[in-house]
Amino acid sequence: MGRKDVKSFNKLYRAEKMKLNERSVAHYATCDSPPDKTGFLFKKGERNTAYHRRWFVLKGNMLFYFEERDSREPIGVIVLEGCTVELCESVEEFAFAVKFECAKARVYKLAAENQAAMESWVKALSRASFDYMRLVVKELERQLEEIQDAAGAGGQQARLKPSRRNHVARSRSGASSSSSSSSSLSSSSSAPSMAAAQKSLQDEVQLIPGSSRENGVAWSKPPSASANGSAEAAPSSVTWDGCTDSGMVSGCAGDGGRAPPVPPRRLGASLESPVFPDNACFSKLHDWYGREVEELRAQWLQSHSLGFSPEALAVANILAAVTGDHRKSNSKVANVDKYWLNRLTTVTGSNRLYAVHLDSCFTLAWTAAFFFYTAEMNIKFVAESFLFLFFVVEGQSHVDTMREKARGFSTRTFPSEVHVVLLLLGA
Amino acid sequence: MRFNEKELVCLSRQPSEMAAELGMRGPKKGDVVKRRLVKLVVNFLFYFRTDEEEPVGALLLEQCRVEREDSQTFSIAFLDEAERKYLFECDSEEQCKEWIDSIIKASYEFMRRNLIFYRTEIHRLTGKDPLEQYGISDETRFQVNSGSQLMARETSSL
Repeated sequence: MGRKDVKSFNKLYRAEKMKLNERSVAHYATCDSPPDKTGFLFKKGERNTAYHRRWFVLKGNMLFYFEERDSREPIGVIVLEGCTVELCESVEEFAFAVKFECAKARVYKLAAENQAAMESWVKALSRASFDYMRLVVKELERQLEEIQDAAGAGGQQARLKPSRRNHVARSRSGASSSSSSSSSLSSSSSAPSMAAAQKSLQDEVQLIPGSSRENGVAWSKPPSASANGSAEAAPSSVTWDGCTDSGMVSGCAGDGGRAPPVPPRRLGASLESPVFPDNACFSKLHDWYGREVEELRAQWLQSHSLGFSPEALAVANILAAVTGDHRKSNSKVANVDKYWLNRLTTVTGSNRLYAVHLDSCFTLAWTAAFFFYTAEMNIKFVAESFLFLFFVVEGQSHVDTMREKARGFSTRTFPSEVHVVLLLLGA
Repeated sequence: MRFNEKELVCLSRQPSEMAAELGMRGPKKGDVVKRRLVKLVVNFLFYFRTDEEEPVGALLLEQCRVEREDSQTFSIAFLDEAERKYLFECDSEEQCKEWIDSIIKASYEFMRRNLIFYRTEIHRLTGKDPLEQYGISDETRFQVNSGSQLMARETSSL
């Protein structure tokens, strides 16, 4: 048969099953990222009507099911996009169904072991879709922008104020952001204008789960090269000009309507997230982070620091935050500020665990570059991040040394698996 | 492993802003570059033969690494098999950059981190948890770290 004939044949008889990167999907099910929910459920069979008890694992918008709790690989997965979850009439007690909107779709019938479990699963599954998550994120993004607009008007330095907005978010939530709020940052009342938007989200949220089809827009449309505000192009052109030892750059502060500071641009991609549009000069990032770290340092100075220098603790916190797993680091840093952890984890995009040996700048730069490399990020960016952190805490001279040394690295010299012990706190 | 193929095919038909014809090469030795219509929908990358309506396949974009291979080519590799790379050839550097950016942001886990970030930030600035009014504060998926509860960041506690 010619090629065309094969294709028609396949189309007609659906001989070709759609491919999926199944091994990796199965890996996602069993890897150590924490699941959103797990438990036993009864699942009605595809062909026969018997219910089988299976171990279910919900991660993101993927519902995996295993034969047994300790099975190493899932039997199958249900992708939870474009579906609704409903209670259903059934001989089986505590039954509910996952229904999809597309034509001729299967209805997955499941049953829990008791009322509470059923309710819990129905809730969890109905909020599992990517669309739902996206909706909530957009709403929070909008709220944050409003808060920052209000703060900016109040004369405080406008931080995290994206100059590039996702306009779809606005129209979806149905509210226009208002800068007329008079509440200051320190007050706990939220701007009155948010109430309307919140209500519309509330309505939308109830309507979901997973059934919002009209949002065909991709998340956070990437910026074009002409970007906004900053003129910095590549990480290699990042400069430390104008930065003082105290870590403050007066020139870059108070930008009002300009782009907020962002980490230096990754090779081949701008690190755009909803909060950090396109790249900006490193000194702005420095300023922005610098304020945070100064605050942190001041607080540590006041607190009982368990005998370690505040700077050491601050750096440890930062590094534990960046490595993303403070529980595993030395127990003496148990007081890592979770807020800070999240900020850095979000910005750097990494939640891997590698603790760092800190008694030499050299090792620091090397290790930082390494673990971020394995976590999908550009080395230079990460090395720069660490240089920056170190600068803020220790000053300019250390940075120069580290840069020199880091320059000599290449990706090939990194071993495939390394754990370097956290000595900072033991020192 | 079983999966709900029909529903995935249906998902692949949703409108998407990131859809383009690219040269795609599979990860196996001997795979050649083929023109495919590549389409990003939620956290899946679908790829179609250019004249077909149903996708040849899909890639779930979780636990993956996107890398620039050269000025117009990017690759996707999954963390459990890091040496096996799917290659995508774009028509321009600009397009390549756009795709890399979009794919990085297309994972559920990335979105989750953003949400947590916004949540903590809003809480920090206003003292209120923005998720409370929707009754979803306790959802595991919105928690700060490994299902643990969000801790209020009060300056006095430090």
